[in-house]
Amino acid sequence: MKNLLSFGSYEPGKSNSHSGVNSRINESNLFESVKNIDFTNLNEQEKADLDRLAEEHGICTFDLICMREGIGYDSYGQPLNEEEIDAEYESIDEGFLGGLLKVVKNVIPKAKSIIAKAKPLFQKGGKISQGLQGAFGKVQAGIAKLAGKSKTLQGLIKNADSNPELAQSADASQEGLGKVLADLKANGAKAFFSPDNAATVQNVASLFNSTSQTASEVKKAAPKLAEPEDADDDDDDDDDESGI
Amino acid sequence: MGNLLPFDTYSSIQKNSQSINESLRSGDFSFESLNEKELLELDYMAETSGLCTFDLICMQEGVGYDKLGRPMQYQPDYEIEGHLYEDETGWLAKEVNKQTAEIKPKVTEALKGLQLKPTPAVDSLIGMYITGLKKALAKNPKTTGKLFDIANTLPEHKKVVKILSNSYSKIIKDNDARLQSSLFSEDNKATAGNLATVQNAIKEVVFNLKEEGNKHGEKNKISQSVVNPKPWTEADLKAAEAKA
Repeated sequence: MKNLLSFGSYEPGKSNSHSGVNSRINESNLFESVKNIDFTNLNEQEKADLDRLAEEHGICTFDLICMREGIGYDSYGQPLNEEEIDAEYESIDEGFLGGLLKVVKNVIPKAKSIIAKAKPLFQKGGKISQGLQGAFGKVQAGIAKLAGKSKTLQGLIKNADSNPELAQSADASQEGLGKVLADLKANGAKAFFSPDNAATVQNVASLFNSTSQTASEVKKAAPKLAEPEDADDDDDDDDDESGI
Repeated sequence: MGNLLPFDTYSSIQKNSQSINESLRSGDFSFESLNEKELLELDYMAETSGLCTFDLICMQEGVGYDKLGRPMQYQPDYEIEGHLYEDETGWLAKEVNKQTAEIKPKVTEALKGLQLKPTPAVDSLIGMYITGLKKALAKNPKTTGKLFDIANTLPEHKKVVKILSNSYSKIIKDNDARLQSSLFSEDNKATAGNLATVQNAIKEVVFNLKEEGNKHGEKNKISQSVVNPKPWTEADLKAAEAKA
């Protein structure tokens, strides 16, 4: 498998060449290793291994989680290209609230430029990592699917919590934050020495930035979109408490 | 649990900063034990008041806010005592002083890039981290490693860790309670943005100090792949903006 995890600088098949015996991380095949790892429950050796790998290869835990979940990466851990990421939501019927899809499509590039503007401080010069790119794609796909399924904005909001694409992005951010929090609790201020932690929280912040912006744009656009008088979503009869 | 919001209307939060401050500082309030309703209330406050959980946690800890919850005109210890440490410890102190001056404009730009309003919290928190470094310098360490080891034991750095840990916990808890809807939270966006900014700022200071240490004979390992890979060019940025 030729991907970013077949690290050329390490001897293939020689696992844990830099790791202690307690690590479950096999550097010669990290993709296989991460498939079975809960990033919020790493031991000290594994945290150290991950941080070092992040430093050496320009990836971070957030990306590894995305890779494991197939967000921005295929089932072999290979990066998807932009067309492949976009294809998922473009193939979905726009449905009744079709106008929303157009709104959502415009939000992500805007979010990218916002992140780029934070580049004096942010790692990778504001560049979007593969995992984050994939997470954006999932959010777009999720909202597009909801727009296709829902009859009203209220319904879209109510259905958001059962949407698998949004769930993937939410879970990845949750686990990424969990990893950093665990490191903070275990290692205190030393955890700040880790570029992996900085990159992971940066990616999560970028994801939240784009999703909340999406929500804001959707809110602004919704009143302008025609809704049928007899609109009646399956489960939209309660008050909206979802936070969109 | 003490009620975080003893307000008639949420929009009155700014007028009632003393009340919220009292709530936050009451012994039985904890961000880690918020229920779902309170999480929603926090989000609503973020949207209506221009504050976010990150600021409230800082207010609770008296970082950037005085005992009455009013924003401080912050005059950090390091600005008062910096010259003393510099005289006593040579290149290491000079570099810490330099970092103090250089990091703040980057932080401001990053916050602006993320479309976040600078609050006293971020400035004070970074100031507190720097103060910890300055106090560690007073112990006359000879290497950056020793400097960090000492600084990590100081109350300033422990408080930084505590504030960031609480901020992480809030987002994680929100994600647990509200599933995908938490992605669309303005409060989470602002809190995560502040977290990422502070954490990246500290990482930047640490790496720059290590780099300076290497110029003085230390052998710190510094990865350029994460710290300084190819940044976005102006053309990249313009292309993203044009697409938006």
